[in-house]
Amino acid sequence: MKRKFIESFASLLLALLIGFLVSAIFIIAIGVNPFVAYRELLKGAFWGKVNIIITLRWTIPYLVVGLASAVAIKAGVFNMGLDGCIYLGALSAALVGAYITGLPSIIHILLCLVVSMIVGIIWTFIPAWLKAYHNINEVIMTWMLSYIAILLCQYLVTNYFQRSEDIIQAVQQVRTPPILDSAKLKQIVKPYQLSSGLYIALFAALCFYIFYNKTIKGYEHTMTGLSPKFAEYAGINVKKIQFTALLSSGAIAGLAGAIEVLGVHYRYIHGFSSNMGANGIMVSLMGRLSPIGISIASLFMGGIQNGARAMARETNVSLDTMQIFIAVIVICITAEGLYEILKIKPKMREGD
Amino acid sequence: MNEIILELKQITKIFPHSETPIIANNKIDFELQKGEIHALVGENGSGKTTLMNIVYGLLSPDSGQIFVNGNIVHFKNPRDAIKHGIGMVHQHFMLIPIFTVAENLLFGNEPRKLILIDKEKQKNITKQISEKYNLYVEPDALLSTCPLGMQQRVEILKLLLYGANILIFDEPTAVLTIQEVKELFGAFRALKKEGKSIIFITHKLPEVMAISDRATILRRGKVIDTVRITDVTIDDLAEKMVGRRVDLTTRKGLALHQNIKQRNSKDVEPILSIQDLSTNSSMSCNLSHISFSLSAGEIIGIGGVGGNGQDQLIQCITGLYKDKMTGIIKYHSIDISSLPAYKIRDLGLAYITGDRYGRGVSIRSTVHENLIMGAHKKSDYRHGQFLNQKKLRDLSASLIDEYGINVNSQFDPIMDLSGGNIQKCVFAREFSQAKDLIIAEEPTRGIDIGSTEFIHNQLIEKAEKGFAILLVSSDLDEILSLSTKIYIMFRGAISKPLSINEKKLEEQIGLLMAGIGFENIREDI
Amino acid sequence: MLQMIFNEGTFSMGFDLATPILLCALGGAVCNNAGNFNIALEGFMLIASFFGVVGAFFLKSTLVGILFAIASGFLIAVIYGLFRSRFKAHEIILGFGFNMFSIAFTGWMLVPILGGRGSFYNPATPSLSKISIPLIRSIPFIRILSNHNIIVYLSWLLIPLLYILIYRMPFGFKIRALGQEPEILRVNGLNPNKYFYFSEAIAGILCGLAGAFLSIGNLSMFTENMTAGRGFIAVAAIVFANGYIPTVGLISIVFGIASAIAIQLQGLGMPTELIDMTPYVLTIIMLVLTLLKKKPGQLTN
Repeated sequence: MKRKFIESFASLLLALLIGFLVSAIFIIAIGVNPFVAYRELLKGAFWGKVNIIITLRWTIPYLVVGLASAVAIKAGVFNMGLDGCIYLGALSAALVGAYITGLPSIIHILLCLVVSMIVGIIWTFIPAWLKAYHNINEVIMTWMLSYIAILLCQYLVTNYFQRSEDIIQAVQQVRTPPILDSAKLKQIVKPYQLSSGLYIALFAALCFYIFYNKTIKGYEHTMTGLSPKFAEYAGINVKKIQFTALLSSGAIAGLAGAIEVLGVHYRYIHGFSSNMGANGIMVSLMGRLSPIGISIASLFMGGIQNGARAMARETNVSLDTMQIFIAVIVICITAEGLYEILKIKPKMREGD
Repeated sequence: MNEIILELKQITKIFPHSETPIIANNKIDFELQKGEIHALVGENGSGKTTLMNIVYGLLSPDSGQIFVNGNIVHFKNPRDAIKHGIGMVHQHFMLIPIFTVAENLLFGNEPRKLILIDKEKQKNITKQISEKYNLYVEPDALLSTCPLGMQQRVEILKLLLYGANILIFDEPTAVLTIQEVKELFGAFRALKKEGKSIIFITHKLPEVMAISDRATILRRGKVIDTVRITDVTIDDLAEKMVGRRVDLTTRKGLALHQNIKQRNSKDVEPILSIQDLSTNSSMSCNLSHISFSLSAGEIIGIGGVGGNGQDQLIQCITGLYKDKMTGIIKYHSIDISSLPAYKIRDLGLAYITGDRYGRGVSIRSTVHENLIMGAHKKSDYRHGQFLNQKKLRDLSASLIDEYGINVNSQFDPIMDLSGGNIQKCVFAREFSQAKDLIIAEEPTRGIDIGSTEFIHNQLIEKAEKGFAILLVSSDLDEILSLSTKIYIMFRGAISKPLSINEKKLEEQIGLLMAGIGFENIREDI
Repeated sequence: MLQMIFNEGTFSMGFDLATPILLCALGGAVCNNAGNFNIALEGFMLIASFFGVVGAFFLKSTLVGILFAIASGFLIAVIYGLFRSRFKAHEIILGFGFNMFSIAFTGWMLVPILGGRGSFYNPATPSLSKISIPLIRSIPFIRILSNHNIIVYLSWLLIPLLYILIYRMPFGFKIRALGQEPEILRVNGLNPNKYFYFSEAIAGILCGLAGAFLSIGNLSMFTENMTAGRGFIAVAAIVFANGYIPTVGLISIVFGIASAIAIQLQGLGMPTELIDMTPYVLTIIMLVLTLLKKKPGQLTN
């Protein structure tokens, strides 16, 4: 148990180290001292009330999408359609938030969240069913559906939900009318964008923890992901687990979109999430599929997004540098062979 | 015809093992004459595959020498062997399903027309060599559509194209229909005429008698004898292959058998009953009209060399089989024929799988996680939807204790354990959850003697308590030691039952294992 | 109205639009045949388009631009191959990572190398000229085949060339054998790695051409993330065609013409989004149909 943890943590550190080194090259190339740059990055991410608040604001969607991705991967399936569900969830929340009147706040917010999750489930239903019961590759299906979802949202909003004044004013943005106050998530510290969505996200992480560590189904999910053959043999309904896992990941992704709308933008703005799905997958991998790991990884990502701006301001290091950093980490994290070469090879077992 | 083309002198190969080293080949002497068909006969574990892997260059011997045409050789890999004219047709063909026969045959050696492949010439070469050796193949047929017999011929032709003079066939008839076997033997005769020499690994004695010139029998890594087929009968071969074991094994099953005889005066409902089970899958060795039943207190041993349908039989019973099947399987009075695995598990059936690392355990998990699987759903170990983790920890600890699993902490990764201890984990889990039926598949394969004794005693104990046990094993000792009743499987069919106290039991078993005495063998599989 | 949509101009534009998709898809199809489901084509193309402009601008030559594009595509593809084969990276995640890296890297390089923020355009940069084919250019309708730049014509030529390479030459057989079972190559004394890297190199070169087309094919410019998902449509084409080169070629051109039609329809007020969805919807339908028919398909787990 301990050794696995150390190995996995060490390989994460290695990926981070390589990431830092590679981006340092790009920093030095424009004549900046990397230590200074990284200092500004850290300061911008975590130093001072404002910075922490903004970092936390970005942590929220990363955390939720990271959980969504992890739910699928833990059961051995891969949901590449998170972005689609995020958009659909956001749109549904925006519509329920804008058009349903006369509800007390708690009910309204809950309704928005629930609808967004249901929409996520519906959208993931077909690939989930095809994967679990017909063994059709879910990666490509969910991915294609994701594009379709995003285009669908754009179409629906452009043609049905945009107010005419918006079309004239907001030429750049395709968006829905604003949500009613009753649907807005309270800001934790005014006037910043950090909303009580943070509590929802943390609650989701807690549920994740409890589910996988304490419940029967959670144990079954974990074992299915680790060894589907063993799971089937030993009495687990593997198909149902895979099906449920994909649906749940779609639901949670929908939730992430909803939180962004209800807590930050207060309406659906097309393009609000650039690549949140991809970043979420990354966060789940960096966090090694554990709720604590994902929380830390999402905080880290949030910090990078935020700190990168500060670093850009103070030292002229462009935002792209941090994107390079993240990309290198992603590549190194999945390169298992890298770790094996640079560290001691894990002991090979004698076959029987 | 007496020229010796291949000679093995004192070949020894030992596999190091965490508990006891396995002597796969023990000072084996073997010679192949030019132009002969020489059968290499033995059960699973007799060492024949290891020996041929050494000849083919896949393994190197720990001691001993190999001579080809009188010259000593050292093979580092199969390409060295091929250079000396030795080719091996494996059980799993190394062919490409999306290429045609001709494309497969000439893969890596395609005839060129400028920079393109000369398809005409490819086809012609295929036709020529096919005609020369009388091995019919369809040059333009897509390999995936070719029957297995033709695919095998493509493999053979490929070796011949590389200039093989010595051809080794590893259980070639395992995947063939009866008709295809006839065709294969025709091919052997044709090859013999062309001066090729053949080594033919098999356990199927009728085939040995039909086609070979000589046979060498291996048992437990040693050569028992090398004989001329014209000098022996099939019974002689059977006896040599299986050996006399009366004095070597205690029949624990005998005592059980007495109990059953006394008990079976009244009609007992069988715990497991199989009625006319047949399968029809793309895999080899489909089942053919299998019927038998299992009652409380019985240990039924299903023996036979591995690959004769035992896998499919177990898969059908445990719900892991996914293709077409007919027939009825009942657990008590419940029809479980088409139930999925998890539902059959829920009914209480326990299954110790032979696929220890692939299915038996979750190799990336801890010992604890492996031991609690199954128990975790039971009411004793849960609070509603939640695991009762304390009780589950206690359970693991007690299982580790009771079954003597050698591990530091139940939270250690199961990967760290030795093979024997991993098997104990499988055992512990299955035994502790079994209701009244246990299916044990190769339960002590690769396990040290001490643990084997332990597992055998546990099985007997359960049977004494009224459990029904289905023991499927390619280890005849084990079968003889534990069973109250024995069946042998061959080519998907099952023999008549043999009671443990029958006269001349080993002889009968030997014949059955070699394929003699079956009625239901299918022609079309 | 049909006149307005299905006129010669649309088809001609369609061929141009198809070119980057076609080239990437052909490269990806080679990888697919070799057993690699490569989703990093987008990234390869983006890097190549950047260096295409760099080459063309600094050395004032489109030929140099094309060479730079091809070379950079080749390099990045080989590095991808290294991570995939030597370091055993997960195919999908690695592809992801390379795509991210390409966007970030080219975005970063814009400023110091080309001095542009978000995009770079300098009219002094040469671009590829359109080639007008005599005779053909005078025949109505057939003349849609004329007046394209050299890369477009190259891409068409590559369809039969790659077909011959993969299905009629020994090299292609080895690539396809690799995709079926690498062990078979070893048994025959061949090195699977060599052929794997070859397939990646081909993909890199073809995506390199695609990148050159994008950046210096018309107006020589580079915009951040200018590939805009074309590489992913290429992947959809490969999935749709199951890696079979002629079909990949055909469907890429169809997707290109569909894009052209979409642009026209946009002008007429039809919703772009629904038309943009077409490649993805088609791919899903094909996927479901083909995989429900055969039992163990190539793309199932």
